[in-house]
Amino acid sequence: MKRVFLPSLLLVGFVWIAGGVERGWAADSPSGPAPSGGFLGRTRDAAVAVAEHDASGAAATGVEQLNEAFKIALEKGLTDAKYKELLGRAGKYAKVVDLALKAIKMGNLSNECRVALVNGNRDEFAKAFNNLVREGVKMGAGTAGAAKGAKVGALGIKGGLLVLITVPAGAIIGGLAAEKLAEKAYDELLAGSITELGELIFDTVKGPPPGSASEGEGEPGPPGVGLPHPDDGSETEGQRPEKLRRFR
Amino acid sequence: MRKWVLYGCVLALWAGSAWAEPAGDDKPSAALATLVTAANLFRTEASDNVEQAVRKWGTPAFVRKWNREVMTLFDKEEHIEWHDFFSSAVLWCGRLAGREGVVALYSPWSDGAVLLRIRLAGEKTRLTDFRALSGEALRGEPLPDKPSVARTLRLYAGAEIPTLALARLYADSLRAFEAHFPLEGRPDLSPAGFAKNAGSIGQETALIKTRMLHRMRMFNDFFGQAGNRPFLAAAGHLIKALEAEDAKAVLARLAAEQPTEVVETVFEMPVSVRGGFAPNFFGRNNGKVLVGLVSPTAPQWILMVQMEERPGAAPALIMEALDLNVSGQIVALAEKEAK
Repeated sequence: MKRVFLPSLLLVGFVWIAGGVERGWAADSPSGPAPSGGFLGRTRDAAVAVAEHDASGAAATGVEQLNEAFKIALEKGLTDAKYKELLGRAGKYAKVVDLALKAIKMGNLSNECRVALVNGNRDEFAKAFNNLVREGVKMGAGTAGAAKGAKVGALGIKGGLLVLITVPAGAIIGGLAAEKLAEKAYDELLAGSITELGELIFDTVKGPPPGSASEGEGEPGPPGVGLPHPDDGSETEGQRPEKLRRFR
Repeated sequence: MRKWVLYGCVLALWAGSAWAEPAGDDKPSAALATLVTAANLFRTEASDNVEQAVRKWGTPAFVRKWNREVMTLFDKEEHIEWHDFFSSAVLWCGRLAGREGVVALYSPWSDGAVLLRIRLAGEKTRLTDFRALSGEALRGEPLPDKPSVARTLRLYAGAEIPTLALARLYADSLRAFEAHFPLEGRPDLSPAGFAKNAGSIGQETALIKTRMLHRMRMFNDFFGQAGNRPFLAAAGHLIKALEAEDAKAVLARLAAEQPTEVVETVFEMPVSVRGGFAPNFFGRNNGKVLVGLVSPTAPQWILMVQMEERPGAAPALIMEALDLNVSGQIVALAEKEAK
């Protein structure tokens, strides 16, 4: 009997709180307004809105507002210098956090590339891919040392696209290939997205395969999509997608 | 004795799934129930407005420490990470001494914990101190000499299926907590031998924040990409169906190969729990999409829904349920099968 007393009491309290909070009740607590449903309430409302209204009108606004909050938090978190101020440049924490943030940033950029490709937006793709290469160069510099990173980074700029296509996962940028640890980390973390990216580049250049999700979603664009040079944003002959076909 | 530490067992007990060991001479305490209930109310409020919840429940010293040690790492626009953290954090308690005790809010999704020292003062319950710990520090794991993304973001790295990765994180973290936080004892946030490798609160929070940021990216992908709308819509339909009185509406949303026992078990939950399930995880595995659903009322229960695209039709869904309270058994079973 004793064994079930406390858990039963707590269960009652748990459910009671859940109901009480919905009613704006907060007994035995400091005064103040009660919450409106919390984070999961927001994700729940967004999912249900999409299901019931296909994210049109007010429902779309709610989903967009929620997504905007994610986006802002992500961008601020990835670019904020507070980490470095707090953690310093040396030490295990700084290294672990730094590598994780770079990986998240890289994954996000590859995602941007994917979106641009799916949408058939060549300008956006060029911009996103340029960012992807740039981040890869920084990664190479950060892990392999400044001088070595710069050298390897330069290779990454020229060969980045080709490496991306010929190697399904892992060494997407030349700089990563020089640093085994980073390569392994990226291989494990980003294998899926990078493989998809490579496939989508081809799909965009040559048209999506029959029955694929991207088929019919906008214009894939003709062959000859220009990619900017990562240094100055201009196109270079060697990076034109015609080159891709040789590596397929 | 240890079982009492696990507040999350409440629902499992109710469901009749995980309360097998006799507790001997354990004496339930009204003070414990009050402290845990108050801590859960704090958690619920912090999942909506962390700044307000801290001000409301914390002593002035607690608020100052929180702002100084934790919030310096977050801008106003970044509080949503904490809302995510608290909404799916599971409560453990220990080291109760009279009207004071320690409550841990552990989120396996961000693999981090906030340990709270909580006290009943008259009719008010107050948070008097806290400690933020990464899962690594909580479990006594040293940080690797060489940084590893796969290790830092292990739940999201795809090295093993998310449910097993979650179970492993949870089981190991709970074991470490139980070892140092028996039900009764001095309400100390840093008992001897606990979290020996922990860094400063700022360092620990920074590590937790990397997981939070990865989750922001994950949510941004799920809610922001047009290509993921069919999966979001499928999750929304399933969530609505879970509010129904019987399982028929849910079964109608699931694939033919769905084990009905899972759905029947979910429908044993009170509707206040079942009706609150919400998207909390999004990932891809072997060409399939995984959507995790968590109810803020009982975050120890997780529904993992596997979705497979079908041309011209809604995705095919298969749902499994995970009770974090039996994480140890799940890990043991997986390791046995792996041999």
